[in-house]
Amino acid sequence: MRLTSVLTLFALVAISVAATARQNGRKNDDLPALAGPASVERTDVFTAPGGTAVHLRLLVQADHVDQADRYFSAAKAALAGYGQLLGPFPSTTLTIVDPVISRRGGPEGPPLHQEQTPIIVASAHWFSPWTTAEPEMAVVQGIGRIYWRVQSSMDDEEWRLREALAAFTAARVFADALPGRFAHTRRYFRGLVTWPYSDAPWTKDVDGDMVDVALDPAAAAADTGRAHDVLALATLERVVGTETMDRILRAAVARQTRTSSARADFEATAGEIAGRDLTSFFDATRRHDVAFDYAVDMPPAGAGTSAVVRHLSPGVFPVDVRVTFDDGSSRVEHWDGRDEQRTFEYARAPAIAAVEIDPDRVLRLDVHRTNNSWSAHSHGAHAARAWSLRWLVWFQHALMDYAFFA
Amino acid sequence: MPSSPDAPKPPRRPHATVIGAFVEGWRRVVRAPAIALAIWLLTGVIAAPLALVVERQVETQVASSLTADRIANGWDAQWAAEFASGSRGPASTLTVEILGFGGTIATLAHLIDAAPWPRPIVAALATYVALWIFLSGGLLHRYACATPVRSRTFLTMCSVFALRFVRLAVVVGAAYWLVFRWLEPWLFGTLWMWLSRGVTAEPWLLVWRGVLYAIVIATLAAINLVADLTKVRMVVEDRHSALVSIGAAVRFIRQRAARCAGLYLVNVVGLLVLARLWLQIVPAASAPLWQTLLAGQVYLVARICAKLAFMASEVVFFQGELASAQYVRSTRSGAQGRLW
Repeated sequence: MRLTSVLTLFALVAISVAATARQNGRKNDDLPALAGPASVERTDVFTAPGGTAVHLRLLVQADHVDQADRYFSAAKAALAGYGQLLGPFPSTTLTIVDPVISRRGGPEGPPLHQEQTPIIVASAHWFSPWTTAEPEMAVVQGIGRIYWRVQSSMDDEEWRLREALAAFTAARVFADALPGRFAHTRRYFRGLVTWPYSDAPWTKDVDGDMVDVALDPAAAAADTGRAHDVLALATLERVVGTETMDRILRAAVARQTRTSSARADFEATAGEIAGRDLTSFFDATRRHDVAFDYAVDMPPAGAGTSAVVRHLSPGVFPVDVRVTFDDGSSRVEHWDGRDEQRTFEYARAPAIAAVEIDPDRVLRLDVHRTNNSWSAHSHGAHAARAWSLRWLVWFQHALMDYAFFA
Repeated sequence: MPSSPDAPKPPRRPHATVIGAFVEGWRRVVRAPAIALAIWLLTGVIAAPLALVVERQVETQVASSLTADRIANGWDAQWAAEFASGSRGPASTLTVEILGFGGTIATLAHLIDAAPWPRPIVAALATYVALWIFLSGGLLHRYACATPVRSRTFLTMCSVFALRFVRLAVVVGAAYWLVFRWLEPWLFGTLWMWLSRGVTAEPWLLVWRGVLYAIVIATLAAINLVADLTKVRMVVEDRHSALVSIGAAVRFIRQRAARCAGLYLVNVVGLLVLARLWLQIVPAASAPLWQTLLAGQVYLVARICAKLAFMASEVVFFQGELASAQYVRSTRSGAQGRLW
């Protein structure tokens, strides 16, 4: 009887602890489990230009100790970059955890907290070449999530916006703090071989702003609209200008509260700081299931004196259309982007040499950029031949690989 | 009882050295450059139709856009992501993984991991492998003869052995299939789970992974060696039965396992040396097209020669061990055409 009572009590305590852990996302005492028994502790200090110090604590796997400097230099570069962009780091301490193997995998989660110390999880592989963006990207994104207070208990809508803000600012900081160093990296043979493609460097416009995710239907579905929001923020930056966008971000960080109306708060802050009504902008870009695609529709043989542009997707956004003529002169037309098609006629002008929709790439949400332009003197055939011949060389070698076993 | 000094000595058993067979194999390949060139042309012929499909898709996608100017001289990540989102068939493989030496690693990983390809690519790969199977009879005969043969003789030999090699391919293909379908999933599934349980040191996991890949590659190499020497025995000894020839090849390897493995390894090292040179000279994506084509074709011809030398060295080794080094199959009657 007594044993049954003790067991029941033990079970109740266990259920209660598990429930608390679920509520808090990952529990505070996850830290030792996260770092594992073989982790090594390193410390460093980052001093902001104003003199404020942030004490850095790194729990790194024993076999990753060589990467400690990469963690610290990324953290310092990120704290300096975020400090300049968003203001001082909201804590005087920061713990970075390189998790034990069994706790890796999947996207890095929201930051943890232990006794007011924010903790970020930043995985790295044992072999990470210098041009591989890990662990640097994980550190920069993790610090961004602390600024934007991303938490696992948020509802989807708020989480999506804060994640997008964190990703957008992380891309900015990453590109500014560690420019031109990283390349696309692929791991082969189940992670045994790591190969950085130096021909394909990491770029803010594509990788940072998640264009590749937005263009990949499977990735976009798994991403639940975050890439759309990042591109909407990039579009907002082009609309209001970088300087104003920086002020908006700074104000949004300073004013943010844990409410479910984070999106409304952000939109209000953006409008107020920009000093203009951005309602139509947010109305147009808010829904992540609405795509944007504008295209130039010109005859291949030549355009003559009229330029035709089309509106292919439901998303509506005003865009500029730049028409360049054979004599080198050009005109920029403004199109509200509502109609299915719009024709610009130039009866007395020379023949049209090129047409480009959104030449300044304001509408970053229009990820199908190729159909945004037309040129009478295009090198399309040349480009196609060049890439097909490069592909041919690759495929000839692929054939030889397989012929080895013939 | 000690043997009398006047007693006749037993005939010395023929003996081939690994390096000697390797060098002689290369010598026979170099002396028949038309074969390598013909295979190089055939490789281009198999690959070209799919390259045209890729060209058409790229041309349709970039059309008359200004993007074409941007991508003509180098890799463009925005365009690549956009193209990948709409491409299909062979064009879906036009990704970052065709660039530089990474493309070589990616394809190899694809092969060893038995990753799927788009159907047109599979069809081209199957055609190319079938072509090699067809040509193997003529090639092995040519290298066994070590003298030029007429094109008709070469093709006759190809067709004489084609059906036998197809029967052999069924058996060998089944063995490869078992490796990819059963052995590899078991190694990287069940065994991997068991090996990695409780291991927290990443280097150890990589070592285990390397060991498992070594097992897969060694198994594939063993099958490949048996298949190669089976073909050699079928040609040199004019054997008909694939199964009996496999048995003969296994016996041959078992009796001189170290030297057979040594010959195989020396040839593999030759391929690795070529790959290392390729890594040294592989042009960047922004390099002029002629440079990419030239370097790519030079490496391709070198690889074809290395594969042919692989075959030739096995023939030389076998002839040195068992068959007469002067072996020539009597197929000269009425042979016409150019000399190979």
